[in-house]
Amino acid sequence: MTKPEQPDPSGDEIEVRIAADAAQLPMLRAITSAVAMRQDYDLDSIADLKMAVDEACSMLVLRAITGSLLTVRFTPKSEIRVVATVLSDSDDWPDTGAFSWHVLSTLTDSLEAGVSQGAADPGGHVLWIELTKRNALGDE
Amino acid sequence: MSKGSTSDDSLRVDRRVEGPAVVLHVTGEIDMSTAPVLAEACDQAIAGTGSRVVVDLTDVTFFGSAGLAVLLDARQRGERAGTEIRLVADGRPVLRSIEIAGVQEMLPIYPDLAGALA
Repeated sequence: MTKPEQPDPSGDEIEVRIAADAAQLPMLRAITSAVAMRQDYDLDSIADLKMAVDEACSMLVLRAITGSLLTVRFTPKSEIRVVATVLSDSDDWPDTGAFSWHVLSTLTDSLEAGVSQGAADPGGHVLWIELTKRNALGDE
Repeated sequence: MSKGSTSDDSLRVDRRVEGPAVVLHVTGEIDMSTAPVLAEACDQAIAGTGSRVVVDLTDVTFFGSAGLAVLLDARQRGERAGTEIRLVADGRPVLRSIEIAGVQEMLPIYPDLAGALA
């Protein structure tokens, strides 16, 4: 459903596919914490990333086609890059005026979002959001 | 589930009356899926109380912007109903969200329950 991407050659990438349902947010937060912990992020950075992924995925889940999947890809390098996508009926995305967007941009080091055309079948729009978060240690 | 409490898998709200205040003790994670539980508890407390609702968030382990939206909304409705909303929070999850949102001025936060009840 998402556009094909080259796999990360270092093999550190983690991709999660889960029902695009708010009930799955606790699982996504747990996975996010685990990824950040393995990168030795400090507690504040782990908490911020967890919150950021929660906000990003909440925004996507609200717009996802019922019964569809949310895909979240983590690329842990010197920073952690997270790309999340859902399939939506609408291409009205992102809402940069939303409170969630403000929270997200404060929590992350970079933030981008956009829409690409879904595959002919089942159609729809692929909404994506990409954020990065560095470990705060050494930053300040 | 005990009387006077509402709960979800990951969020629980217990209610009690203490002096002039209704105290809502919240335990668990507040996100988009559990925020309605808190909203309902706040509504009920504002409708059934006199002067003050204290929302004790000491045992909240995750606090997303959906939770903040609920509290800001409760504050607004409380104002119209003549009910003051006070928060109790000492942990990072809640304090960080409130700091990021920049709403410290709008939501009075007390470090402990005794302070909020005083």
